[in-house]
Amino acid sequence: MWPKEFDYVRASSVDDAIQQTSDNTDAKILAGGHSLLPAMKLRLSEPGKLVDISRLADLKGISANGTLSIGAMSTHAEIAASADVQQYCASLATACGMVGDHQVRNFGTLGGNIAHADPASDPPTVLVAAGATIHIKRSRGERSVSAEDFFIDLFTTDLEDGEVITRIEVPNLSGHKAAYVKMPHPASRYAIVGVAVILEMDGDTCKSARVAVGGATVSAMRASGAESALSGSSLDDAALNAAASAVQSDISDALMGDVSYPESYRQAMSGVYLKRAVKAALG
Amino acid sequence: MELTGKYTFEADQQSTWDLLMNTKAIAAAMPGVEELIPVEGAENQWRAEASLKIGAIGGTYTGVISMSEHDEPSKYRLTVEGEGQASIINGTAVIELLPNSDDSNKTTIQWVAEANISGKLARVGQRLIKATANMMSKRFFSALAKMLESDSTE
Ligand SMILES: Cc1cc2nc3c(=O)[nH]c(=O)nc-3n(C[C@H](O)[C@H](O)[C@H](O)COP(=O)(O)OP(=O)(O)OC[C@H]3O[C@@H](n4cnc5c(N)ncnc54)[C@H](O)[C@@H]3O)c2cc1C
Repeated sequence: MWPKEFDYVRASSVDDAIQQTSDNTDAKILAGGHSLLPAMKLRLSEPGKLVDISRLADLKGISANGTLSIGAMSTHAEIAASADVQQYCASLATACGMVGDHQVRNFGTLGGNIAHADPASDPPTVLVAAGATIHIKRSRGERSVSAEDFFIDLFTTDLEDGEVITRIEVPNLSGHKAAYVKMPHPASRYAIVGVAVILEMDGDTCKSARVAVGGATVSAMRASGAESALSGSSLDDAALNAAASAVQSDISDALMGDVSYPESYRQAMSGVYLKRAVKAALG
Repeated sequence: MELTGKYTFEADQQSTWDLLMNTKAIAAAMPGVEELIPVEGAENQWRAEASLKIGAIGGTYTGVISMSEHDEPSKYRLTVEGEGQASIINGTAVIELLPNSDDSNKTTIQWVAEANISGKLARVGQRLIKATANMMSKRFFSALAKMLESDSTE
């Protein structure tokens, strides 16, 4: 399968990439190409020009300095293997390590993954639970938005044409118990249901909890009912059962499904995977 | 594939009906549509072109929209036959306008649609078709609802 003919330019800087995509609405940013190129080969996407940001040093690198800063061009494999990510937000390393297969993890980037906002993606769910911040550059300057507000709907984010994601910032969660678990699609490995939990523990009591769900929903989202059910509890069976039923109502207005895995099935599985996530977090 | 949904408008049943019959409003509310052009010699039938963009995926679709079985102000049928991106999309929906029993200034629109999609979109996009259709319906009705709100504040 061949894509429609297109122009290709390698951006010389982030500002250059912004300018080339703001001047021309038919132009698209190219990062790892693992979502965009398949769509182009199927001719489901026919941009006239690709602006390649993959060699921009400004968008690379991971650093941990109070908070974790991940360049948008970091690949899933780099994030999964990063000692800084494992220390500050281990469940993000887990999620990136579960993306697709080796080829996808070696090319696909975190910036591309969240810009694309496939509902079946893994990293967005952890970023929402972790309270991450997305940093964006545009011709008028820079702005930042919380992960929770960034993901709006199916393939729909807060990002506008002519904007480039520069980095993703994650708070230091090293003192928390956290986990990401997913039910992978048997063929693509994309998430049918993914649940991220981040627990602040005080002895055996859960002081506070953050829970996010993806895969089952049109976009990654917080599950506040489940968070309340876990907070203040000792995470015993009663609390887990209450949280498992709360998460199902939290996501009831945003469910998605298909012929193989209908909405009702994914909704039920969100409860099952929430329990697994809490157990995995407590290790 | 069956699609169902509902949406509540802040208007009485007749005003909601008038809005749903207003082709200018419908064209403005349909995602990616510029205008509805009446089909010559046919009643309640329009031609439309839509350029849709969802994430990295986008393309142009053309089709014919028709309304029938009018039962003013409570029920009608909306039929769409379209094609684009090497795919054929056919759908027919029965749309009901249900007045709210406690508040006459609220009307709930409820639709039951049967949609058939064949071709490339069906082959490669199976997992997303239903959610996409639901998102488009939600955008359509919420855009119409916004028009009502801006009318009443004028
Ligand atoms: C077989 C297969 C299996 C997969 N399985 C999984 C999975 O299990 N879980 C999962 O989460 N993902 C999965 N993916 C998706 C994978 O993670 C993609 O790599 C990722 O979604 C896109 O990243 P990319 O760098 O390849 O982006 P590209 O394909 O280059 O770009 C994607 C979109 O984002 C835009 N974009 C890219 N970077 C930026 C930026 N910095 N600023 C603004 N816009 C930008 C582009 O313009 C384009 O619209 C899979 C992909 C494949 C092919």
